[in-house]
Amino acid sequence: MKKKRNIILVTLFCLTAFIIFAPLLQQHLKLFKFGVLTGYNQPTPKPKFSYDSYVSGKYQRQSEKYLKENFGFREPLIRMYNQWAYDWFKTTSNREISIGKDGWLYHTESALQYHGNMVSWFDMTNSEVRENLVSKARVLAKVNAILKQYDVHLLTFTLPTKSFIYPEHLRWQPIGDTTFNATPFFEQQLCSLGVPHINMVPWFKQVQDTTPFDLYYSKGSHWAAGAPLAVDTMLRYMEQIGDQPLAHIQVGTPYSIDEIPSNDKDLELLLNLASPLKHEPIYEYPVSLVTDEHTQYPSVWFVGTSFYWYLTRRVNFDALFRDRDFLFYYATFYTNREQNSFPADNLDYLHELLLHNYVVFFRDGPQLYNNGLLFPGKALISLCISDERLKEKTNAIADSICHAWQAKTHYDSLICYNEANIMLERQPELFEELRGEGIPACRNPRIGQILVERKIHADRNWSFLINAKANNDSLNVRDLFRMESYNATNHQPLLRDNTYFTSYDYLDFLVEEAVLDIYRSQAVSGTKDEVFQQALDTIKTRIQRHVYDDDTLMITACAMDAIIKDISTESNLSSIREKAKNWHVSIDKAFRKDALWCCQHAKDKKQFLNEETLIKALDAYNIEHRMRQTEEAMESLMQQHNKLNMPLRMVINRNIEWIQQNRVQ
Amino acid sequence: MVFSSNVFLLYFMPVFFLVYFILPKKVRNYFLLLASLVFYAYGAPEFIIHLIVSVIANFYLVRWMNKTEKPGLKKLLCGISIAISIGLLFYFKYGNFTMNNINSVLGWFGGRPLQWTKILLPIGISFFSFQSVTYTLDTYRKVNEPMKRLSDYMLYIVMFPQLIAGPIVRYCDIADQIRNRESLYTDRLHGFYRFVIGLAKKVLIADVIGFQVDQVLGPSNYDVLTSAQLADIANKIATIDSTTAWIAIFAFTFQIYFDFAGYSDMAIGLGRMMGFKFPENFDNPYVSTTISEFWRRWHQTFSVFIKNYLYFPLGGSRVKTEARKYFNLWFCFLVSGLWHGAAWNFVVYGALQGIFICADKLFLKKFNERLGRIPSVFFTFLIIVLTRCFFRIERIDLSWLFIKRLFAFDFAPFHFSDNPHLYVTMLVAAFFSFFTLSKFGLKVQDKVYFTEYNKWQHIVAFIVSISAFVFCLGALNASGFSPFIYFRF
Repeated sequence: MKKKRNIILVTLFCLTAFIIFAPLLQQHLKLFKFGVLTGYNQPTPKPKFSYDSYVSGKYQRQSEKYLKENFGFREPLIRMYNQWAYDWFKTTSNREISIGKDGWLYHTESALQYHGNMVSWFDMTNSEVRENLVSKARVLAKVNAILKQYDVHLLTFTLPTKSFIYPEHLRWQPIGDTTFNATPFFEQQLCSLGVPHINMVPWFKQVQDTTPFDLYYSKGSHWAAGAPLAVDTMLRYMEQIGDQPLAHIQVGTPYSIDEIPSNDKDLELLLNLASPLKHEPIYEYPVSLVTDEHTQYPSVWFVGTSFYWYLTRRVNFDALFRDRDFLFYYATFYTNREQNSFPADNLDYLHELLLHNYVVFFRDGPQLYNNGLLFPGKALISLCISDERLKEKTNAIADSICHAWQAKTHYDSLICYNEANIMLERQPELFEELRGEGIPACRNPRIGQILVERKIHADRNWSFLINAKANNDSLNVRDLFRMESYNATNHQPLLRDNTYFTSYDYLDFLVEEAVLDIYRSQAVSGTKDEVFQQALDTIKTRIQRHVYDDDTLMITACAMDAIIKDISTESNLSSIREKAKNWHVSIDKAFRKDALWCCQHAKDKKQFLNEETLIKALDAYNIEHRMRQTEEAMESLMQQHNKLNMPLRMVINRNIEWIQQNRVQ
Repeated sequence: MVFSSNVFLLYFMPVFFLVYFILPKKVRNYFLLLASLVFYAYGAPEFIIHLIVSVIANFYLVRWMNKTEKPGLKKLLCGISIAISIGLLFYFKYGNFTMNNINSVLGWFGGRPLQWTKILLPIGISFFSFQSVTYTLDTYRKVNEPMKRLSDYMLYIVMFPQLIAGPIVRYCDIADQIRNRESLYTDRLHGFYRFVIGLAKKVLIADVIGFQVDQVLGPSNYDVLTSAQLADIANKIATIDSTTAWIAIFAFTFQIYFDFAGYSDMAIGLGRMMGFKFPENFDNPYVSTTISEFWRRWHQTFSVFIKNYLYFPLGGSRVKTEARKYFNLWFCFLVSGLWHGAAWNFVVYGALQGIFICADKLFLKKFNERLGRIPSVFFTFLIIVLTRCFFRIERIDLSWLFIKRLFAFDFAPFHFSDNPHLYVTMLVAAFFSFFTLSKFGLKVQDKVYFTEYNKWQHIVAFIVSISAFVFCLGALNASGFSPFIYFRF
């Protein structure tokens, strides 16, 4: 009996030892795989031991932090605890989330904002916030007035956050000593100064009263079905201030989705629970555009928050706007329909402000309380202050900061410079020339060249040529536009006159235009492939109707195709290889240079264009387009390109020919 | 390093016990000593040398003291040894406090302040200094023979389970265990169960309540605050409504008990896993019917220390006059208040406790007896709660202001958290604080803590402990995990 008891005790002891050891084993051996926890946190780097860091306690603090983020079974343990806290008490350890009634979740900041508690959250006083907002509104009014002089329209709005539309699901919140709501105050300031501004909250509430489902998803922070309504509101206001007809949004009968996209339940994911919450269906409106022959498709620069992504997911912005760019939280700049992005540190605000027809600046309520509202200052400085003057002023302020801080090292000076920069962005009126109630008279001298660039963008053919050059030479298209505007301003040879492009490039441009036309003209557009096919058919019909017979770009493209065919011989290939070697350029570049020279010197280019050639080119375009969509096909083309040391264009053409021949057989 | 940290729970504890149990018994003490030094050096690297030097000095002084036959020299050596321990404690713990006060007094008389570089407080000094005093005095009083080996003495002082926050183990209680102890499987398991109980008290109760208390009363240590932050706390306290104030101070009363008792449980549990039997430190203090009883149940090892090494040497109750008897009592509590922290609020706290103890002897005890058991428990608890204001709020003016707010009877919509987790935790804390008011509760507690388990009880205890351990790990790490939706800037 005693022996049996001992066996049990030994077993229990061994099990205990194993269990307390398990996290250590898991951390180092990674025996089980767990999904990462949702949300962003600055990861702690692995601490490096040094005597100094150990004695100062830094090593220990960092070890504890690192271990907290990396110990074995961290994910399931945290999820398990969070699930328990949520199920039993409807609480979460995540300060970013406020759990409401009836399973509703809110972003804490949005809930605090509704209750007017944000001031204490940001450790500011009511008067400090008020003063800041008055100054920001004044700066925005100046930006608006200056932009108007260059036919750019500024539109601002405060995002209608969930707590303002659905306060009834908020749980009781402690009432702080400072209850000041910045949103109405700021809106009032903007209105009194005549800055175009939309207050979406009353509109959303009005729609909500007549809608049988929620415009926001209970477990997400952004607008769901409300997104198309927001876009339409925005368009109507843009139409009004720009005095030009824009597309209308038409919403159909709402339909429910049972499978909630993860973006829409961002707050739930942030709870990091062990099992998903029970979901109500989410409703969506089918959206179509209503346009006519007068409809304009402006270029828009959006400056704002993640709410933007929820608009573009539900409404086809490509079809609404000729061009659009997005600055996300002053941190990342998305351009070329969000296909490219780069950090916004070196973003040329002046360039972006003047190249678009509209600037739409939106922000959430909390941004009104802290100093996150940087856009007005940056915009005003870029419009009015030359780069030299900015540098001079920044240096002067940085020097005074360095003096006050008794900065000694180079690093300290950099910090002072950075601080001076931020100070100017927050308070642009530190520039004497920007002070006062009136519109500042000074202007950034770069404006002239940017206006030329705007003309290039507006010219369809010119813009195509610059884009084609950027694509074929793998260059930054923004740089090329800037370079071209410089050339045009300074009477230098233009890039557009020295651009290589084939029928593939031009047809791609035409198809893209046709796709947008379909999206703009049809109520329901079908799948992406179907729309593409429809666009090809449209181009084909136009070819058959001889629409492109006098199109200079099409004539040049066909001439280029014929020249490429002519020079794509084995004997010419060795000469191209030789040239590439001598010029120290890639074989592709040498080939393009050769083809471009031949094309520029070709006589009677029109002879290369006829219906048969164009139909064949369209077929070749279709094949190449599909090849470029397939990773394996592109890989195989690149392999052939490298193996044969042959220009990529020749390799592609050969493959297309092979496909065409085999298909015929 | 604290027990409720990831480094301890996930690295130190598993690795330590694995190696400890693998090693032969002969070398276990050396390994325990080494691990204890690592444990201390990890948290307070700059003080490890002080600790080692003072321990070595004390060891040889006490040996010399024991060997010498001359009573005068014996007394002198005993005095030097105690002076080293108490001197270090005084220098590190009360140096800043003393200098601040001297400079304030000088300031009143227009004098220039004395130059003084602020010193940091070595972690655990209040505990290991007292242990070293018990060693010296127990040897001096011939209660025990001194240690033969320096390593054994060092182990007694620096043994990691009780190094940071007690219990204060008297030398006479543990001397034999250091040299000779048995660690049976049942001890190891019981130790683990006890450790987990302590961990749960700390992580699941004290930390949950403490977080909300800090929101109302600010951090527990005002030294780290800027003057603006202090002004903010002062403003908060001045405008606090009575409901919030009462909830906050009740919450703190539970927090401090579960925090401290949890730590003691963990220490006792860790000790038991190695075969040590540390004295109990808490015996359901909140079910006390009088303040005297409370101090017999609260931080028992400290009370015993004060009784044996301060109260009795002062003459205890065997003094000529009643006044002297009450003074001795009051003085002991004044010192005990000061031991808790180097600030005037702790002096006031100690003085108040002393006054209540004296009042107990004079009339309060009789009054409580008349009240009956349950009312007297709650009356005593109320006194404890009120005096806790001086313990928690590190400025006397603010403590007094807070007490005024308690009795302002301004029951406006309160500002305390609406978090149901907190209130449920407070209810749980209250339940376990007063659980042993009933005989059944007392029986259950004895069964859980002090009775040997049969195999089924072991299996149940194992499952519960492991689940609680895992749950505590989750709580410990989830509480600080607050990721952002987006990286904004």
